[in-house]
Amino acid sequence: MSKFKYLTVLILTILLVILTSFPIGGFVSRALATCSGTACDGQFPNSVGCDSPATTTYIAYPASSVLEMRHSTYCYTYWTRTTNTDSQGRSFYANATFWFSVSPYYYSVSSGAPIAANQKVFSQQRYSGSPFSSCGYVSGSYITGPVSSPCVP
Amino acid sequence: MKRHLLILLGTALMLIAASFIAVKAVAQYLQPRTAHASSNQLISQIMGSEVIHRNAVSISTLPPPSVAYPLIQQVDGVKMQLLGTVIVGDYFTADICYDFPTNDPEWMIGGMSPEYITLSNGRETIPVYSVGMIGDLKTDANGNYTGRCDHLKFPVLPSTSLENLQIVVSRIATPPSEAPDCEKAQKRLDNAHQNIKIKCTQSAGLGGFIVTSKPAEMDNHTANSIASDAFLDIVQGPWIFDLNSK
Repeated sequence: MSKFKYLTVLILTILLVILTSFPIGGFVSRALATCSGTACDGQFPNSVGCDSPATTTYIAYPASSVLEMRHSTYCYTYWTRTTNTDSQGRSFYANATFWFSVSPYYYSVSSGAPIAANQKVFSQQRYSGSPFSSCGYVSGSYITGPVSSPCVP
Repeated sequence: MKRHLLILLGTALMLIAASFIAVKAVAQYLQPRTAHASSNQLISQIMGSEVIHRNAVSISTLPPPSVAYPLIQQVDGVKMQLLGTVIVGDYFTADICYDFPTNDPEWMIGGMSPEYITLSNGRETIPVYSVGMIGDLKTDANGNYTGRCDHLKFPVLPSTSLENLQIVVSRIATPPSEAPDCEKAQKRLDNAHQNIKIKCTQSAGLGGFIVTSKPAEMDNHTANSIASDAFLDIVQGPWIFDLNSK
């Protein structure tokens, strides 16, 4: 066999080994998210597959609403979610603001129209720039973000 | 020929080892850099009395109830432990740890209403003000999610009686995700013959559901509550912690 053939076989072997060394399960589940690390910064969690699995790290209950700091246990990102939970079923404007320590310092999403009970707004997510804080609430009038109260933690 | 095959085999083995080391190093580098300390540190602190002493620095003059912690309650196979309570400023606070019924990081006490976690003294019932996770989620050796610890805050007035206190956790549940599974929820509603129809909405920064039809005799609050629960996995309690038992 010529040297060229051995070199080709060697290169192919190297490529095969590198590819098969990655955990297959990791690849399969990774395929659900289309970003990782700081590349997730500024993206909406549900647009890039980071919204599930996730957990609520902080929760508070401002009037007619639920304010949460959410955390993707897969993308390791955080964001703010505000849900209209009005017991009378009224629609409200809502805002979700996520604060962090580096520029641009916050992501803020305000609903352009009142959202119905059980609907929620959520901010873009952040991987880097802790410490983080989540703020938001619902109101009868449009909320110009960012908001700085009430907040968790 | 044999020699060349051996060289190839050796190279392959070395590359496998090197690749695993590289993957591990990259994974380590990409570990979350969160606002939380490691769960082991915090949970081990909370399991001892250190957290009580640490928090006691900022407690008000109101005396905390005298109870031998932890208080342990088990309902439907789910163990919940009350590790301690202190009064910090205008808040009565409690640290609670609990096991997850399934390997799902979403489980948490209470849920979408503060009424699911209350502090009562027999005369008044105070819904929880906020819940914050202590440390990280607990996991087992296989990386399965097994539980979490939370710091609860209840607003109290100086006039609030601290006699006969009880903390009641009505449920643990999985909050709905940003992209709720409408089909599954509608199926649950249909199977329960609730005669409620729902519609999910989802776009960047907006999600949730609306009730599109309900029985005429059912009020909006009840319909929304039933529909909301259809999105969740729920373990009903209550876990009741009597803070004045000696």
